[in-house]
Order: sequence, then structure tokens, then C-alpha cells
Amino acid sequence: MSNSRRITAVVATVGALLAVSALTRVSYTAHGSDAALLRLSWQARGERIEHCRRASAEELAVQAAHMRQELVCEGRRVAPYRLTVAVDGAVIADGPVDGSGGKGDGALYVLNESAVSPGTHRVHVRFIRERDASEPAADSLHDARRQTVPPLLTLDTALVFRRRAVTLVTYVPETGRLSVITADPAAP
Amino acid sequence: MASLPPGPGDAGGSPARPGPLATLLAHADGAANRIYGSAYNPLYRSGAVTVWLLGVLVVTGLYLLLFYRVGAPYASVARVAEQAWLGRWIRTVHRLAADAALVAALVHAVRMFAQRRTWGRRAMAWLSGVALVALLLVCGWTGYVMVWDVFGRMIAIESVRVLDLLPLFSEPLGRAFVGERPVPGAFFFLNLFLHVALPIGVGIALMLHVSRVARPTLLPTRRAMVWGSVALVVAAILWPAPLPPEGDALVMPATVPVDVLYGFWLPVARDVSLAVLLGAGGLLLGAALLVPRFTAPAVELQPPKSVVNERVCTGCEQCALDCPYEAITMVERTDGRATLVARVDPEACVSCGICAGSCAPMGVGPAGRTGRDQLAGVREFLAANQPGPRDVVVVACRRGAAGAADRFAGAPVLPVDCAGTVHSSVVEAIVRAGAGGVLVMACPVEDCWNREGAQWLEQRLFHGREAELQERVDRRRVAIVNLARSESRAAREAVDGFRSKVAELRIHDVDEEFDLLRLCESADADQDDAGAIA
Repeated sequence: MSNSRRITAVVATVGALLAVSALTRVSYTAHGSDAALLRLSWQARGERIEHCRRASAEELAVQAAHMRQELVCEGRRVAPYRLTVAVDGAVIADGPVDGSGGKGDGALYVLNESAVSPGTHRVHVRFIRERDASEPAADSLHDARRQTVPPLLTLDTALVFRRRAVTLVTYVPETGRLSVITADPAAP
Repeated sequence: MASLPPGPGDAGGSPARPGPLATLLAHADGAANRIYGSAYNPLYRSGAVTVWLLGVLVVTGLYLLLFYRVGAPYASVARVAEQAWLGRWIRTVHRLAADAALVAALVHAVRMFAQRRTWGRRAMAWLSGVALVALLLVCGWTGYVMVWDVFGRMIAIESVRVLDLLPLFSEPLGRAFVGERPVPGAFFFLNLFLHVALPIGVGIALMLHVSRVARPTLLPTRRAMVWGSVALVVAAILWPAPLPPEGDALVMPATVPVDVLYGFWLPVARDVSLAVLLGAGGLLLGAALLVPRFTAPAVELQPPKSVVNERVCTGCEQCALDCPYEAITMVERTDGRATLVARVDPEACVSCGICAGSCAPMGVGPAGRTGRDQLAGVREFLAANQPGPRDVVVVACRRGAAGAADRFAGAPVLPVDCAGTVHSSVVEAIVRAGAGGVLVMACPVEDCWNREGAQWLEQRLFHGREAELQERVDRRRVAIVNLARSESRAAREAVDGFRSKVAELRIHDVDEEFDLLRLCESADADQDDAGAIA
């Protein structure tokens, strides 16, 4: 291979690589509008609905030592909850939140996102335990150990929404309240 | 038109009438040959180029790994990008090599598809190739997620949206990225583990990929690798990889710099439902996996496998040595003769016909394409064309520059399925019949569809490889040119040039009594008689 051909080959290869490189930085419009986002996201332990009773001494005796449970609960599921979100009085989300998992006995997961125009808005969030007259009473001792979410969580406050920024409403188990997290104002 | 029987065709057409994809490929090959020359044409060596780029990825990745911190992924990558003398361009080379490897792998796949080298014995190579591309994609995604810039975060979010559809995790994975808490270091550790472990899977898939080839070309030439590395570094210095802003759960960037090679699916994923996305992905994967099935010709159209004429086989082992697919083994004879005998594994044979050219006594080859069948075809060809002492006969690979035309540049053409299958006796028969010369028009050595055909042919005609062209044939009357399908102008020039050289030679005698096929038959009869007496 002659020197001129070698140089041509290297130049062509560099050109091809630069073309490939151009394909790795194509600008994609991820968020075309200036809208902000109101995101509600949390995990909580819902109130359990189950029939619990103390196991008798006879029942415990037939179990292996490591399998003995004094509290026997059956028909377990998590109570239904409802999430309602309103911005400036207009309801933008309203729906049930059920326990996760195939049996509906897992944790409650909330993830709701709504676009909001930038500016200050009155936000009202309500997360409430729904009751059914036919449902049996829950075992309060059991739930106390599990730190269940309170039957009613509310947030009613004015929030400032910045363009293309996310305002996150989340539940803090330690305080038992909803809390607001916003982006660092210095963020681009 | 007299010609030798055809073998397997290419996508959408026969070797003589290629499909549109093969035609496009031929033009690309021609353009690349003009720039690089066929010996360094990266399109011919797209598979080897991919492996070399994977090597570049490993070497540059080891350097980057020294600085990566799962506790502060973005900050650690930013520190590397700030190293103006080393880190910045090594990171760019790493990224560029990842993209170039994907491009090279896709070019390789398109080549194999266009050339219909996807079915039968080659199905394993195709399927492992699909796995390799999939692994390469996942490796790339984990690599981008490691950086945790806006693009990496986008990949992570869309990937877990898909994963959350599957009933695998008790807690939706997507919650890790909503901003309730910092993304856990365990996530980045797992991602790093995948990014490092997946290349091991790539290595295993690569071993499977080449397992059915006798002498796989795993790397380009050393010179090509050196100059390729120079080109990578120059490109990296000229245009360093950007470091977009850090991914932030609470900030929605207006624009995101997307690597369309690895992130081609992201814009679609954001606009369509996950069910549609998964369905489309499944269909694409299913179609790729079914390629061996729908590119295979109907059983009755499949070319016959090679067979051994055990009566003729001398046990020289050359066919076993030359077979590019390790389909021939030598076994003990059962007829009492002391030599070994060749045995073809029909499951391994792709019917390339290379063995037909490698067997001096013409005892092996696909039915209808053995050396003796070739001689019968040549006899017919010579009777029809009667080449004179100043004429050049072109023996042309159907996939090459002359195609399967009757005449090319004023010379009669004997089309063959692959130049590597041509028995040297064919060349001798044409010369001794009075033709001025024989020009064999083969594909470039690096792009022989039967891997090593062009290489073996050259060695048989000029370097004494077994089944060699006999000493009695004047080598000035024989020539080989290696040209791609689109290089017809160079092919014409080669014919004209060779014709001029032949014109300068003294007119040689025509050996009208010479009939190699008849000689073979009488030799066989003698051998049979000797066997009967014994």
C-alpha cells in the first residue's frame, strides 16, 4: 500500500468514525413544552384486612418448634385506598390504590404524574383509606407493629412550579405526613 | 451456454443475478476497494473488525474502570473527562469503539444475509451472531447508564419500565428513579457488574460463532489494527465525547443528546405503549432468529452435499485440509487398501465445492461438480467456443466481476460457482485445447463466499499446493485476478492486458488427442483390473 493510499485510508476511516460519532450525539427533544410536572410517589404499608386469632396450645404443639406462630391470620389483603389530586380546585387525578402483588396483600405503591403549567398553584392531595361496611375489623395489634400508613393523608398548599422542573410529593413514614421535594433552583 | 453447475445462490437471486441488497453491497465493496484496496477493505473483514473493536473496548474499559466510583458515578466520569491528556480521549475511544463495533457487527450481519450464508450448517453462526448483537446492545446500555447523565438516566427509566411489566419484582424498579431518595449505590454496582460480566458472555457467543469454521479470521491484519487504532485516536482527539448534564430526577431536560445506535428505541418507547414496544421487539428478535429458516432454499433446490468416490480416493488428506468447514475427516478403509479414505459429514457440508478443486484424482465433490464433472463441462465449452491461439478464455466466478455472461471483454466465459472449486485440470484442458491463455477471475481473497476458495486456487495454480497445475502447462498462459462484482472496468482492463501478453507468446500446438477425462476413465479401468487380478 502506497503512502498516499495509506493516508487516504486513514482519512476515510477517521471520516467514517466522525460520522459514527455524529450519530452518538443526535439532539432529541425530550420535553418540548415548558410545562412542569407534579409527581406523587411513595410506598406505604396499608392497613390489613384479615381474620386473626390466637392459636391454641394444641395447634402449636403439632407444629415444629421453629414453625410455631401464636397469631394466625387468614384472608389477608390490604385495605383499599383512594388518591385524589386537585390543582387550583380542578381534580386531575382520582382513583383507587390497591395493595400490590397477585393477592393484593403487598405494599401500596403510588406513582402519579401530571403536567402543570409553570407558576404558583394551589395543590390539594388526599389519600384516604376507604371503608366497606361488610369488611371485618383489622387486627390493630398486628398493624401497629407494621407501621401502617394513617387512614388519611392530606396536603393542601400553594406550590411554585418552575418550567420543566418536577415537584415531588411523597410520604415520609417517620413523620406520618406528606412532604414536598423540589428541584435545586440552581439546576438547569 | 456451457458452464459448470451452480451451487447455492444469494439473497433474492442467483449468484449470477443478485438481489438488490447484494447489488448494493457490491457497490459498497467496490468503493471501499478503491480507498483501501481489497486486502484492507474493512467491509470484507467486518466480523474481524468487530472483534478487534471489542478488544479496544476491553483495553480502554480497564483504564476507565480505575476511576469509576459507584457511589459517585457522574462525578467520577466527569473527573475522567477532565483529564485532557489521557482520560478524555480514552473515554471517547471507548465510546466510539462501542458504536463502531455495533456498526461493524450489523454490516457483517447484512453481508451474511445478502450472501445467504445463513442457513444449514451456517445457522449456528447466524443465531450466535444475533445473540452477540443483543449482548453488545445490552453492554452499551449498561455503559451509558454507568455515566448517569441525562441520556443514561433516560435509558435506565425506559428499561425499567419494560422490566416492570414482567412479574419479577415485588417493588416497581422505576421507583428508584423518581427522586424520593438518591439512586442507591447498589443499583450502580449491579449495573457495573453487568457491564463487566456481559463481555464474558460475548466471548462465549463468539466461540460458538466461529466454532464451525476451520480457520476463522478473528482479527484484521496487524497493520490494519495499528492504522485503525490511529484513526480511532485521531477521531477521538478531533471530536471528544460530550458529557451531558447529570441525570436529575427533578429536572426535565428540554433536549437530550441521544446515541441513535444504542438508543434508537428510546423516542419510540416514550411515544408508544409498552405492550406495542415489547411486541415490536419480540417480532424483530423472532424475525432475526427465523432467518436461517426462511433463507434456506426448498429441500429439492438445495445443492447436493459432497460425496467421496472411495475407489478413486488415494487418502492424501488434502480435501480434509482444504475444507473450510471441517466437514471431511479421514478414516480407515474397509476394502483392504492400506491408505485412509475421506469421509464427508453431510451435516457439516455446506456444498461449497472447495474439495472438488483440492482432489488431484478428482474423487470428491458435490454431485455434478466434481473435477470430472468439470472436465465434462469444459469439453462441451471448448466444442462450442473453439478458442484460438490468440484467444483468452475467462474462467469466472459467477459472483465476480464477469458474472455469468457468455462473453466478457471479447473473451468467452466459462462461469463457475466459485473459483476455488475449479480443478487445475480444467485450466490445463483449456490451454492444451489451443486457447492462448486462461484468465481466472476470482473474488477478492478476503471476500471468497466459500472463505478460502480464492486462496487455495492461487496456491494450486502457482505454488504447488496439492492438486496443483501440472508443470507441463506454460504458466505465462495462466493468470488470476481477484476482483469484486462491481469492478467490471478493472476486469476488462485485466482481460485486455492478459490478451496482450498472450499475443506476445509463440503460438503453441494444439493437443487434439488430449482428453483428460478419458485418461481418468482409462486409469480407473486399469486400477479396477489390477484390483481384480489381486
